[in-house]
Amino acid sequence: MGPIETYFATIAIIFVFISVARGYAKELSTTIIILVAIFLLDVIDGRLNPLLLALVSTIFPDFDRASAAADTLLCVVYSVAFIGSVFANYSGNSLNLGGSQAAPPVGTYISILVGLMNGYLVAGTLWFYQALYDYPLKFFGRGIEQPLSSTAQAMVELLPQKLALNAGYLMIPIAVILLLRARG
Amino acid sequence: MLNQPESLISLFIYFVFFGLIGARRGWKKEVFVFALAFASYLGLLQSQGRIAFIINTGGNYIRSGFPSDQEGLLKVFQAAPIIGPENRETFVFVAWAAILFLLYFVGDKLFKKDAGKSQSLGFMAGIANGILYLSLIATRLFPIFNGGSELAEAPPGTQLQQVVIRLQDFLDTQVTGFFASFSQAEQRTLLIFVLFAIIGIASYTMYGRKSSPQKK
Repeated sequence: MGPIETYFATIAIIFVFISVARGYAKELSTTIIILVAIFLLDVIDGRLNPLLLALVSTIFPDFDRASAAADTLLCVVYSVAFIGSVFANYSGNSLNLGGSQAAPPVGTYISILVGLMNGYLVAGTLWFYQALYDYPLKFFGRGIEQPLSSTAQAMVELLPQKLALNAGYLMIPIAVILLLRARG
Repeated sequence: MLNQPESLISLFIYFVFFGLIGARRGWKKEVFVFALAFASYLGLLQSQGRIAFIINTGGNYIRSGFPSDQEGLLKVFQAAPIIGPENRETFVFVAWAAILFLLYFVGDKLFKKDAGKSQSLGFMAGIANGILYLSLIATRLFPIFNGGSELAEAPPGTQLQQVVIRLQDFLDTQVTGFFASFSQAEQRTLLIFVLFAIIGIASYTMYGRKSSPQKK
């Protein structure tokens, strides 16, 4: 496993520990927030870019819109917005989905699965914005070395944003949860 | 080398480990698992041809969309087998592993209050299971470690590192091979199905179960 896979896999594994500690009943609310954040960022991504770059160009006239600095700026904006959404769910009032989770050991196994899924969604989204804007983090040195290994190149094609034709499909599980919630 | 004292001590530890498990679980459970696991393995070896024929015919019949005409039925028998000579051994082992898992489950249900009685019998039955595992499961692990001779001759203190490296290499190859057998579109479909399944299972266990009445 190359450096970038290790880096993002570590983030995913941390989410497994968080999920086991909090339980999947709470983590499922984080899943909803993550999916909504991915959907919203997918909707505004592209539309917001010209506006942001025009704003920065107005403040800094020498700013080159096609430079690596512009890519870094956009990557940071989307990554921070995404991390902010996830953090808000953990630090603020989490969505209360109600229901009660299964008793251990089944409950623990499901918590591990939900943690892995959240880890994949979070680490995968951060990786996606890195890949989309040509890995701005590489300027910081170690960790994201180019070219990517064959495993990493294969993994890039399986990031959350690339799973479906558009992020609207990611709303299906949310609908299922809400329907079950209404029924339950 | 066969006369190494370390090998003898390792074998002793291995048998004591299985013996202690047997003593804790009870002899009935251990004998139940041993007898039926051994018998089912022999049974699978004996009847693998017939089982493969049933699965191949049934599977191809379903794949062909349940044909009722003569031509359709002929195609069912002419189609490539699901279980062919190249994967027959894998099929036997997977079927046996599933039976073994089931036997532990059924044994626990059948002999609930067996543990604690006749611990010496349980110890011996546990050793018998240890020999069964050594012959049927451990032999499948040897290829991962190139027969194990290189590991045995590795400098003292490096065996653990070697085992971890070889396990990682083996799993890397297996996982890469597994995913390479799917196209990129299939991989994405598989992944999205897994995500939906996790969310479905989690939400079903939260809302879908009927809550059992609480005792007052």
